[in-house]
Amino acid sequence: MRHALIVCLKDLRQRMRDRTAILTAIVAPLALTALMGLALGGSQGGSGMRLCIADLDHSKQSSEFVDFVQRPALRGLIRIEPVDSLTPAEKMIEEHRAECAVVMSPGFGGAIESGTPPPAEILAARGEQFATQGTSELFRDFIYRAGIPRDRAVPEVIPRSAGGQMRIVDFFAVSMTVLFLNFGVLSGVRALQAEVDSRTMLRLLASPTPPHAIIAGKFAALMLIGLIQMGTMIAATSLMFGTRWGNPLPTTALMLTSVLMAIGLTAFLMSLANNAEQGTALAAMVIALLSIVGGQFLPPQGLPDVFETLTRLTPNGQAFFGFLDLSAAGAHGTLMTIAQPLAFTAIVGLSGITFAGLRARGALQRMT
Amino acid sequence: MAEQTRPALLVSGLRKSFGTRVAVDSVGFTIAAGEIYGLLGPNGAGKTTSISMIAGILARDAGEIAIDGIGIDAGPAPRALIGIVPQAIALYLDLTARENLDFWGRMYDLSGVPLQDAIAGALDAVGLTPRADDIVGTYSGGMQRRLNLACGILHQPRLLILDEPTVGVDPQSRSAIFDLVERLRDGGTAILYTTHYMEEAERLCARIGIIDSGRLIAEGTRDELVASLGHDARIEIGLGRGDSVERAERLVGALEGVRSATVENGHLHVVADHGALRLPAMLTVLLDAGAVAESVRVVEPNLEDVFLRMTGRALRD
Repeated sequence: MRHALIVCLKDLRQRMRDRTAILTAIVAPLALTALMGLALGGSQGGSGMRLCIADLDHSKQSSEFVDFVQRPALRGLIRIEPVDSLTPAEKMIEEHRAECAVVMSPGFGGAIESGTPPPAEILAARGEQFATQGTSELFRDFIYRAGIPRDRAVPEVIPRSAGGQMRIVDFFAVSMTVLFLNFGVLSGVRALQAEVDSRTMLRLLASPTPPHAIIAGKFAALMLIGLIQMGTMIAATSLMFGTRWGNPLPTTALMLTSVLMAIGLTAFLMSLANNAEQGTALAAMVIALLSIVGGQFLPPQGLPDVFETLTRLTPNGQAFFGFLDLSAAGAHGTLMTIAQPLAFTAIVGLSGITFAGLRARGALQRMT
Repeated sequence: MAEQTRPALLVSGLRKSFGTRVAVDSVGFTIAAGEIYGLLGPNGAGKTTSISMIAGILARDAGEIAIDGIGIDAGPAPRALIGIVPQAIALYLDLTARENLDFWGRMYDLSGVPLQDAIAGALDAVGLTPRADDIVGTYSGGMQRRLNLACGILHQPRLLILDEPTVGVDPQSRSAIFDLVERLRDGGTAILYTTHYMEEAERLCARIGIIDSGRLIAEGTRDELVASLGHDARIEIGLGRGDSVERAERLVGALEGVRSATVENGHLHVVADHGALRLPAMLTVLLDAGAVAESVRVVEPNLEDVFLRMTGRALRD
């Protein structure tokens, strides 16, 4: 155990020192997600905030609020979508046709007349912090002008999950995380191959350290590299873009098998080459190809069904759709939701590792 | 008493095949504490395969290997007694020298103050203390070779295996490596030194085993091996331009006592029993053949000649 830990820490230290690997693992996918999200659409697009207003009170005061947010000074900044009941307001949020909805309940006008906080709530699509904050401020400003102190006029904000069509930024958050997971793990597998090439592996095997401790340390380092990378991407995209990744338990399970898959896939490809350089080139090419087939560059919506079938035949496509399914399921996602991706990625990972292990054993024997 | 006579390394009947190719066959030798044993042979002779088995990296088909009386298969204990310096630079180039040594020390169960002392000692021994905290990738080839050696001696092994430790190094680093190897020998370390440089084997090794095609074909001190050539001597005769070299080669080769005669780069190389005594006859034959001997040199036999005699090939072939 102690030897495995020493090997693992040494490998992690080497990876942390590799700035190119950090760029590839974290910076590049985040930058690409942001760029693709901005370029191809998303909530912070150029058409301004889309605000749905559900006037259930139909009073003079509720009409005044509609006029207040439609005043010329806000024209171009806010696009108003009026509806007359709660259901269409919820639907607009769910379908990403509005970032927020202000729901003015019956009694809204009467409460303002009597100088008490009116019954109202704001429905907000998850992750739309800027829109939510702006809507809250508008509401409080309106109430303040009606003579009610700002601190008493705080509407309840109800976050709503957006189902149906996925935001483009969320799509790329998931796809870039899966795509660059392979590249991040590849740098670790490449280092492992380089260790075989440079004979440090032979030196390790000559030491009193048991071979199983060396293998355990190397495997732990690769798993940690992948998990740290995915964890960072999940945290960063959640904070920066409001991406929903779904229920933590199945998400963590799919993270584990996805990292296993990435290790197996890259180790398999590396083992087909004669050295680390050749292996890296081969793996990079295959990963890029699999990413195209696996649907990581084009949202599957609007494409023929056969395309989705094809993507699900690739290991990265399986991981990718697993995360998308979890995101769509939200808090209701379970291990059963992603049973197929879990099994597929785990089998690919273990098979690749076994194959590469056998090849490495033969290569080490040839070196001696 | 038995403790004193027990060799630091015992190798007996070592054999290894890869498919139908026999890489090492019936190799056996011993090395005493404080002795440098040279394993001399050309590339592909079986040196690296032999030391891989001795170091426990490669499973053997047959034979016995014991370090200080402990069989190499007896778990981690015998491995901890071995230090190995591979022919390749087996270092982490993206770590510093100190980090490399720290890692290898821990792999050999060193820790705490003993580890720090060992690192300082090893760095000092190879003259790298001032560059200890530099990334190894920035080192020259010679410095990397010295650090490669330092990683092998960090845990003060009883048996040090050096596989071609001076390949591609500058004369200064080569000299530093020789000095360190001799200091380790004087400190009681048994050293197995593989090389295809005859000069290194002659300078450092108390005993030398000559290996070719997987078999140990001769063993002994340098003088014993050279003496095994008997009264053979090598004579180099420089021939004039335009001389009939093929005819000269044939005529000299036919003389009594001449074992071989070959022409290379305008020189006739002759190996002959009591060579110096046969020189007048050779010159006479050459004169009769119309060739002019422009220079004559009688070369004292060395390990290269031993190898040539035993295998019919040069060491560097």
